[in-house]
Amino acid sequence: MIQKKICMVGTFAVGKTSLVRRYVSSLFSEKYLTTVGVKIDKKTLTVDNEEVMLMLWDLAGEDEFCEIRPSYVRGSSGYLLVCDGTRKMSFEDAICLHGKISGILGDIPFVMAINKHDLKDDWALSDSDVQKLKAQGWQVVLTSAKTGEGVEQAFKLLAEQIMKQNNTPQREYS
Amino acid sequence: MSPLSHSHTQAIHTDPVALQQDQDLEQLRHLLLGKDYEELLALKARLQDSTGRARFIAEILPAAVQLSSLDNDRLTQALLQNVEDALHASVRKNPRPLVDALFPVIGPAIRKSITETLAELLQTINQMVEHSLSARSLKWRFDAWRTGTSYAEIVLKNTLIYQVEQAFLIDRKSGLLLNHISSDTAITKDPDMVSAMLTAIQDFITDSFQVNDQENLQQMRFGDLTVLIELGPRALLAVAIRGNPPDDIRQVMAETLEQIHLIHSDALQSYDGDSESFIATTPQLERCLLSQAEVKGVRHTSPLTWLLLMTAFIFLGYWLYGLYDTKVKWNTALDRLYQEPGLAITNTEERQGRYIVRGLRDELARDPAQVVGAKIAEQLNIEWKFQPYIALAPKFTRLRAEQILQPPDSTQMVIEGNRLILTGEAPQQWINEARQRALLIPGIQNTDTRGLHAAEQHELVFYEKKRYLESTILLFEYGQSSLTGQQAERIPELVSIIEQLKDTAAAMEELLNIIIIGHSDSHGSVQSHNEISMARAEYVKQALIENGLPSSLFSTVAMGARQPSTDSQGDGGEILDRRVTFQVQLVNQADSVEPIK
Repeated sequence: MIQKKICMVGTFAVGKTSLVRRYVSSLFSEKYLTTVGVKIDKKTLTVDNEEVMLMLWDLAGEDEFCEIRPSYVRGSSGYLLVCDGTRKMSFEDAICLHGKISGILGDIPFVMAINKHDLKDDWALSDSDVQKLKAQGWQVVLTSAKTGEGVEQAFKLLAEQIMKQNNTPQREYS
Repeated sequence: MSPLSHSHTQAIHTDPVALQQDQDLEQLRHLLLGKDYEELLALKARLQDSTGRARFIAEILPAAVQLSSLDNDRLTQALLQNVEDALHASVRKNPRPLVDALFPVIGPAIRKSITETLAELLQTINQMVEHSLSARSLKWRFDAWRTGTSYAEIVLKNTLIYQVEQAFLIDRKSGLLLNHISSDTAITKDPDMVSAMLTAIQDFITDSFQVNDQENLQQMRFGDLTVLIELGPRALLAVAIRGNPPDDIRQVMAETLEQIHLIHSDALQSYDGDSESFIATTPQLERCLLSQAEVKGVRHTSPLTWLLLMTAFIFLGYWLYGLYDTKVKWNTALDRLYQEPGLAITNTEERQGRYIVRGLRDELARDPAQVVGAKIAEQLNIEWKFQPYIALAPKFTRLRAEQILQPPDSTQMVIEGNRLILTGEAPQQWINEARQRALLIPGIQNTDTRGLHAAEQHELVFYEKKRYLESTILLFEYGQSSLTGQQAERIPELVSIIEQLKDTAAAMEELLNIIIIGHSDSHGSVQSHNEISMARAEYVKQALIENGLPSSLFSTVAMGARQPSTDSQGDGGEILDRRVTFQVQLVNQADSVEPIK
């Protein structure tokens, strides 16, 4: 079975942990997030008839915007960039974080999850904001940890991208 | 034009014009290609020949396979499915050849596995038995119940000095688990997540405390659990140890990690999340699953403890011996009491260190304390509780008869069943009273006094002295006819007896005749026997006469060796044969001495 390390990235209170909780059953308690700064969960799914085990590193959002611990994301095969659709600032922070991670890890698969889509009345993002990203080739999924909307899809999209890249014979080009 | 088109032309053109054209072309080819054309034709023929082609491939195939395996594993991957299918087909068709081929390998492997399993089981059972009845075991049983694990696991965990429970081989970069092994008794939880978390904790320490990148978290300790981490260039090895690990375990870890890096260098370098190939690291990781059970060391016991133990042992031995000795004495006492006539034991009891004996006792029976032995009776502190009774055993009937009748010395008494037989001489008055009193004796129903003769007092004295003298024996040394020592000293006593006999005989108006009978042993001739026996009788006669007795009282007889003593049987008994005895007779003056036969 293929194993892949995935990071959940996003500023504080965007719902990363809620998304993971919606997606997996945990071994470790969420106390780890506030102590060690990371909580790890596991999810196995099938992509193109191949089983993939995703090790989900749920990183604690930094108080300072757009900060990331490089050691935590090192070795990741992809990441889920999470922002809060009701907080425009978190959206911008996510874009900033993407830049930071690209600087550390290079171009690796990622999916942008715009969370809290169930709070449509408080929605702070315009369609054009999303379309701009999509135009740049970003995979963007509207999610709701509360209703479960888009959660499976976000992870599956990410896994598919990762496996697609995995099956590309990189060694021959390196 | 290709060689193929050449043969094709030969095969289909049959008309003369076309044939001519082909021949022309053939010549042209020869002209253009020369010898190469012939070689091309030969090569074509070889390619068309399937046998030759197979032979050609067979020649180069081994080298080609070797080259391919050196370069990459594509050939292995390509053949993998075919080999698996071939194995399946072979087993379906006839499993025997494969079984025969694997037998030499599977046998030892199974034996080794069974041996190891049994050894582990034995260790577990040993420790379970050893700790099954201690105070600690109760706590462990509670722990087992509380944690939901088996008691055996708890025992093993607590009795090990240390045990490496789990080993994690982790990709250093991603924190993904490459391989994981655990001991049979370890409780494992999702090693994939644990390995990622171990990596995260490493990162946390590195980020939080600004340590050198080359340094790493080497050890974590929580209670009796220690996690040791050994860092390699591409992978890290973490082991979870229960107990106190020895220092050299880190050396083992380092060697293991080096070996894994050496053997699996390519796989580590190109790791992309597929941990399948790292299953091959299991033998290396198993080297780290070390353990050491608690060994009961020789404890040095203090001299005081030894002294106390020795004292206690001596006291225990003394107490046990006392118990044994008392038991033996008590059994001996009971045996004696049960066998003693005149005592009938009905009940015995031990109460608070005292022994109580109940039963019946004839007043003529011996004192029970005397029967048991005064010392034993005192040691056992026996309390006697006897009721009186009359024992009818012959011994007690006789004792009771003697007590009641008080017979004179001249009277003999014999009891046969319930009959009392009286013989000898006794005063008439006593005889009359005895006949009446005898019937009062318990156990006596009739009395036989036919052998009892009435006699006056002087007659009783005579018969008493007569019986005495007739039982007297004077002994002589071998070949001697004179008395020496103590035997000679008896003469005055005999003189006194004979004088009393003479006086009482006179009172009875009878004459006394004492026959002195000489005896000899069987040595020598009959004549010598007679001579020496006569000489001995004469010597005694002369000695009595010399002490004042009249010679008319005596006559002598030589018995020789004809009457050996009944007590002279056996070694040294012949001394009793060399003797002189006496016979007392009352005769009228007119009577002569009755010759001895």
